[in-house]
This record gives sequence, C-alpha cells and structure tokens, in this order.
Amino acid sequence: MSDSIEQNEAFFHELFKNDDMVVYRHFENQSDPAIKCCAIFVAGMVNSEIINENIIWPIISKVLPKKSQLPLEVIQTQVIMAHDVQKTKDLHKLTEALNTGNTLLLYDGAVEALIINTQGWQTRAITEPENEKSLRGPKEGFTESLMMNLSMLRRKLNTYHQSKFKFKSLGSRAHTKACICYIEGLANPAILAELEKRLDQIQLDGILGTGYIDEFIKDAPLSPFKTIGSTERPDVVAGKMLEGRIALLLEGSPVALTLPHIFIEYFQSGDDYYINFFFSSISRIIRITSFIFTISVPAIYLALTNFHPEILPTPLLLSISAARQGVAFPTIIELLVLGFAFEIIREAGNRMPTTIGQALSIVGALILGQAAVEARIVSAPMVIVTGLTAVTGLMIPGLSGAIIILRFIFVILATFIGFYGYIFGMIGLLLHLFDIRSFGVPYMTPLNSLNLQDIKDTVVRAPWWYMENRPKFIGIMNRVRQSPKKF
Amino acid sequence: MTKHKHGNGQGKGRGTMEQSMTLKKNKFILVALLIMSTFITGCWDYKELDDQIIIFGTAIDYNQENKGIILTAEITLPTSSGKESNFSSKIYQGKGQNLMDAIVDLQSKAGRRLLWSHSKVLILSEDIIGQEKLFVGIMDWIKRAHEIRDTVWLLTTHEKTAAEILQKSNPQTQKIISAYLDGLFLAGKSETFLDVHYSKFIKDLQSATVCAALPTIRLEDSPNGILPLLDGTALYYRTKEVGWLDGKRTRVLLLLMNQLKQAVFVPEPSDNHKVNGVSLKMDYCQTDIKPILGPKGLVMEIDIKMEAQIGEIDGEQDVFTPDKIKKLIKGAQSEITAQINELLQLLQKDYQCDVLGFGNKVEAKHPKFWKKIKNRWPNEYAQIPTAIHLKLSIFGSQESKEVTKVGP
Repeated sequence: MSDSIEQNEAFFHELFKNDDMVVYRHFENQSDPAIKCCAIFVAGMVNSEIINENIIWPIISKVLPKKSQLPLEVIQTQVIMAHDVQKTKDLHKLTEALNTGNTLLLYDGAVEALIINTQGWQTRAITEPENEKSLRGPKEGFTESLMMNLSMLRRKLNTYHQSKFKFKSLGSRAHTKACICYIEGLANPAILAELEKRLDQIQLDGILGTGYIDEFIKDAPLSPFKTIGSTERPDVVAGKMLEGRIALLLEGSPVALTLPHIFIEYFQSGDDYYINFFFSSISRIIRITSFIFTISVPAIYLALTNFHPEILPTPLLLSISAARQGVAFPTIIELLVLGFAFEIIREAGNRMPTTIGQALSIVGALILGQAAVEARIVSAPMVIVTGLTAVTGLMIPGLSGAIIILRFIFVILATFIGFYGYIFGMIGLLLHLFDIRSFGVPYMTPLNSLNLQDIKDTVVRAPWWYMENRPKFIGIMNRVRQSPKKF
Repeated sequence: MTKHKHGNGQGKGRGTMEQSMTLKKNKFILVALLIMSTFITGCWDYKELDDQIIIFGTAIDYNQENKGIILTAEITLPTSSGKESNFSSKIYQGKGQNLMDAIVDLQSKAGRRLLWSHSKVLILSEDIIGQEKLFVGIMDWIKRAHEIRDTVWLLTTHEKTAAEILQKSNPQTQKIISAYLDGLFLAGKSETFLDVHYSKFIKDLQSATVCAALPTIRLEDSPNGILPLLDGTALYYRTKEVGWLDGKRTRVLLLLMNQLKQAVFVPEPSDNHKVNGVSLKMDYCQTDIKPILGPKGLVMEIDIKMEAQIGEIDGEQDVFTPDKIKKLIKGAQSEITAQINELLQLLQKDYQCDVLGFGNKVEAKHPKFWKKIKNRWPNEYAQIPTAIHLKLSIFGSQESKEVTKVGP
C-alpha cells in the first residue's frame, strides 16, 4: 500500500473489478478538507447505521486537529466510535475483513488502513428445531449465525474462564469460520489435539456444512454409523460439553458436531433429562426396541414363513398362508418391493412442499397399501410387516441411513439361510459396533460394563441424584460430576 | 483432496505394518468365507408357505388287499377373498406298502409339498396296531421325520376304519376335525379320555412293565350330522389290545394317574345312600401311590386328597347341616373307593395291565426287592394288595347355601 489515498483506492478498484457489491465512499472533514478518507465496504453485509453515525459523521463534522497532527492512530483511538477497530497493512487481512462485513477505512497519507467491525446482516430468528422438539427443555435452536450460536452456548456455560471457544478457518478457498468449544479440565487434551490435527488435514476448498467435516474426520469412514454426534440444540451441546465432550460449530450451519460420539447417544434424547426418569427410561427402552425391530422384523418374518414355519402358531400359519394364496411374487420380492415403495414415499415426503403432504399420505395408504393387497400384488401380513418396520424406523432419525442398509442386508441373509442368516448378520453387526471407535473411545462404551455407575445413562436413565460420575472414557479428566466444591 | 489417515492418533498398539497386513488378509478371508457359506448353503430350503399343503391330521389303516397302509390325511385349504380368510379342510388318501410309500402316493395326489410340522393328531386303526411290523414302522417314521413333532396326539378307534373319523365326522364348532380334536386335548380338562402324545406313548410302549394306553374315538350320530366323540381308553401290551375302559372308568384311571384336575361327581342313583341327588364338583385332586414293603409283603398305598364343592342339588333338600354334610362325604367317599377298587380289580386281574406304572414305582423305591420279583412281575402284579385312603372335604357351595325350591 502506498500513502496516497487515490492509489490505494485504485488498487482496491482493480482488485475488486467486476464486483459491484463493493461500495467506495469518499468524505472529507468540514473544516479541514485535507483530511480525506475513503470507506470501503460490501453492501448488504454491513450495518449502515454504524458507518453513518460512527465513522462518517465524526470525521466529517468533528473539529479535528490539523492533518499533520492527525495520524491514523489518533483516528483509530479518538475519532472512530466503533467497538472493534484494527489497523493493518496486510492485504490478505483487509480483503478477508471486507468479505465478512467489516468496513475498511483508507486515510490519505497512511500506508495502513483501519478495519472497523460493522457487521450487520439479516439472520434467521431463533426457533425451536423441527427435528429435536422438547417438551420441558428450552425451545431455542441453533441458527446459521455462528456468533449467535456461540452466545447461546456461552450463556448456558458460565464456567468462569474454563469454557474455551477457539476459532478456526476451514476450507482452503471459502475460509469458513469454525469454532471448537470445550471446557478446560473436562475435555481430554489428547482428543482435542487429535481433532485439530484432523481438521488441519482437510484441504477441501469450501466447507458449507458440518456434514462435510463429519465425513472428513470420522474414525470409521465406511461405516453407516456416525462416530460424531450432531444436534441443533444448544442445551444438548452444553450438556455434552459438561460431560467432557468437544463441540464444533460452523458459520452458516445450524447443526453442531459433538465428539466423541458413542452408540448409545443415538437413543438419548435431549428431553430425557428434563422429564421424569421413569418416563424417559421407558421411552428409551422403546427407542432401543424399535431399532432392533426395524432392522429385524422383515428378516425374521421371511425366515419364519419360508424356512421355519413350525415355529409359527398354527392359527397364524393358516392366516398367513391364506393371505398369500394367489400372490404373484415370492415373499422376498414382496418385501423388497414394498420396502422400496415405502422409501420412495418417505423420500418424497422429505422433499415435497408441506401442502402436498396430505395427498401423499392418501396415495401411500390407499393405493400402495389397500389396493396392492386387494390386487394380490402383495399380501396383507406383508403390509403389516412393512408398516411396523417403517414406523419403528422413523423413531430414531439419526440412524435412518444405517437402518436401511442393515435391514436390507439382514433380509438378503435371511433369504438364503433363514434364521442362521439373521443371526450371522446380528453377530456381524455387533462385531462391527464393538470394533469401531470414536476418537479413541470404544463405540459401545459403556454397554459392555457390569458396573452400575457406568450404565446409569444407557438403556435406562437413572435419576440425576444417582449420576455421580461422568461417562466412562469421555469424562476421564474429571470423573466426579457432583461435588460440593465450587469450580 | 485430503489424504486423511483415519485413527492415526489411536494407532498405538495396533501392531506393525506386517501385522496389520495379516490382520487385513485374515479379515478378508473371514468375510469371503461368510459370504460363500451364505450362498453355498442357502436357497434350497426356501419354501413359500403357499406352495405347501398343511397337513392337520392323519389316520392310518391297514390295507387288507396288499397288506400295506392306507394313509388318510386332512389338509387345510386356507383361502382368502378380499378381507375374509376362510379355512376349510379336505381329505386325501394315499396307499402304499409302508408309510413312506403311502406318503409319496399322497404327495403326488395332493400336488404340492406336504408340511407336516403342524400335524396335530394321528388316528391309528385297530388293525394297524395289530400289524406289529407296520406299526413299528409308523412309530419309527415319526421319530425319524424331522418335520412331524413328538407332541402329535395319538388316538385309536374301534370304528371299522380310522379314515372314517376324518371322512364322516362333522364337529359343529370347527370346520377342521383335527383342530377340533387338538383343541379338546389342549384344553386339558378331559375327564373321559387320556391325552397321550407320541413321546409318552413310545416311552410306555418301550417300557418292560408299563402298559401303553391310547384314547379311543368313536362316531356318534346326531341330528346335525355325525360327531366325533372322545371316550374311553384302550390298553395295550406290546401291540395287542388287552382291554378297554369306558369313559367313566377312564375318569377313575385319570384320578389314579394324578391327572385329574377337575371332575364332576354324580352319585349313582341308588337307595343305599341317605343323601341322594347331590352332585359334587371336584376342584382339587391329588393322588399319591406309594409301594410299601411291610412284614406282610408289598402293599400299594393309594393316598387321594380331594376338595369339592356342591355343584347341583336335585330336588328340594337342605344338605347344609353338618350332619348331612358328613353323610354326604361318607357316601361319596365310599362310592369313589368302590369305583377305584373295581378299576384296580379290572386292571390287575382281568387285563393284567400295569398302566399305572406300579412296576416302575416298586423299582424306584425298593430296587433290591424289585430284582427278586422282576422275572415273575406279571404274576406278582395281579396279586399286589392295595390300600386306598381317600380324604374328601367339601368346603362350600358354588354360590349360596340357599335351597332352590319350587313354590312356597
């Protein structure tokens, strides 16, 4: 940069050629026109009130010292009325600042420029997340604004100096701001170091959502199971941080990542901790049974009817046999066709405007259900099986991808060797689950433990007064959760 | 793109490169084996339910013409139209040199694969039980065939053929005869017939001393059609029928076998007893048979405890005075004891058939003594004295102590 304001401006003009969002505003002091300034900012990303009243107004209308006695430092410290002003000549910093809603102030005669924080763009209001509703918990969810999200988090964690929020820029071209959040003394430094190491290895040009990061840094990249948790609720993130987990938030993404993530977390809902522990235990048991149901029911039905009919009670056998009379396709084809039809409806429901949703359910229920049975394309028990599978499968949204794959594998295995196939599949699934880790923490922790304190927050949710320790492995830095000592 | 090595940080202790290579190789072999075994073993066991004919019950007869077997099977025909499912049955017959041969014949007539695993009853005719070679073959087939269950109910009939039972009878409450019979056996409240399934029958048949018993079924005419009626017990020594007990005696037999849970006691109309026309409902019967080796030799002690309620009083009479209750108990006790004595007489002297398993009990309690009398057991059996201790208590009336009267 040179000390001539014209040259500097021309430089920026050249740099931002064909970018009409960049606005250049010249102004001079009323009493001393030699004090020449130029504010550069990107329209739509700034709060124009701050620019008008706190930058332009003081420089134009204030009586300022002579230009020779007015270096840039004085303008920074005595004239500009903004909360965050920096002085730099680093072009990299300047352009980056411009793109994030800051205003650059060029001053005639200075080789440096000021970066003034004038960020002010429209964001979505804080609403309750659609996918994670809560009965008694807070009704706020993350938005796309990183700062707003962090503020929600910070309000919940008044831990003196111990909550740490560390910024990081991700994406080699798009430079998205990310924030690693953890509580010092609870989060494992080894996991933290490993996370930073993995983040640094990402070389993708742009990271637009936390899902990108998830795929890049997860431990078992080919597994259908997530080894990194995700949530839209600040209270859930705060709760996990208090257990010793690390959270990762990204500018522009309302979904925060939490890690390490273990299998049982799929079945833990944020609401579990707010309502009575009896009820939350019951709903957790229902969730876990649903998961087992949704991956097993089609395979078991297939094995029962085609390999081991002797296990069926006789009236049920007769009824299934009666329903299958005249059905054109073998059971396996029926199962796959109906399952596929359901997936189509589900996918359509996800992508479709809500107004058409009603029509969709009618089409699904009447045409695919009733008519297909009456036309003998599928049998009635198969509709029940598919219905049960579908309903139970919708209960755990985070697992839906894994569920589809597992269900399919189990059905194929059961088609070949009946119950043996199903059992082989189950053994394989358990081997896989016990094999993988999330940032060094075994995925099935603490389901393999016989210690009552370890399993208090798994299949059942123990009352709060009983949960004395933090989870095994994750809260290794400080196991004691309840203590009279103030931290 | 990122070359991200996953889990590098946790790689400690996972071994050197070579080790991980062999590990990978092993993993690959394991997965390959699993997949291969899945595809190699599979598929031919895959049988659609509607491609199979469900056999519900069978009757086996002796074929005089070729000295073979006539196999009559009741198969179900589940059909559904719209929202309704319908279950009816059809009777098919197959003939052959032995049972396997007859099954092949039946299968070719039925046209589809036969599903035996839900077979409920097997009715054996008198003739076929008499043909020892064929009969043993049938029992052996049930043991060997993996589909038919050991819990299939066995019964016999004194009708001309066993097939008749399936062909002619028409139980009004069920369309499928075998399911009707299965329901009767399963209800477990039988008073006039035994429930014997294959595993019990074969055990008794193979035993040295115990007599095998089978429930008998007959056909009874009724205005609505012919009804199948389970009534009575046939007793066997080897494959020879040595005796038959009617329904009433079967009830006493069940009582002695400790299989009678609930029963109705209707007194014989006679002038001997003062308290007449009072029927009892037994709610609890417990029988204990103990061989007692005393100075006078072996005595079978039969302890019976019964609890009963007054079920029905015929005629206007007040029986609820302590005195009358005492009389009632005494009368019922002596009548039941008389029935037991009559049955024991029949079993020991006339049929010489140890269906109650006296021999086993002696062997278990007094093994030394048993060794002495083992060889002449049939003769000994007929001579064993029995002592019956019956304790009947009446603990109330079904509903009220009020006497039902006609008019004032």
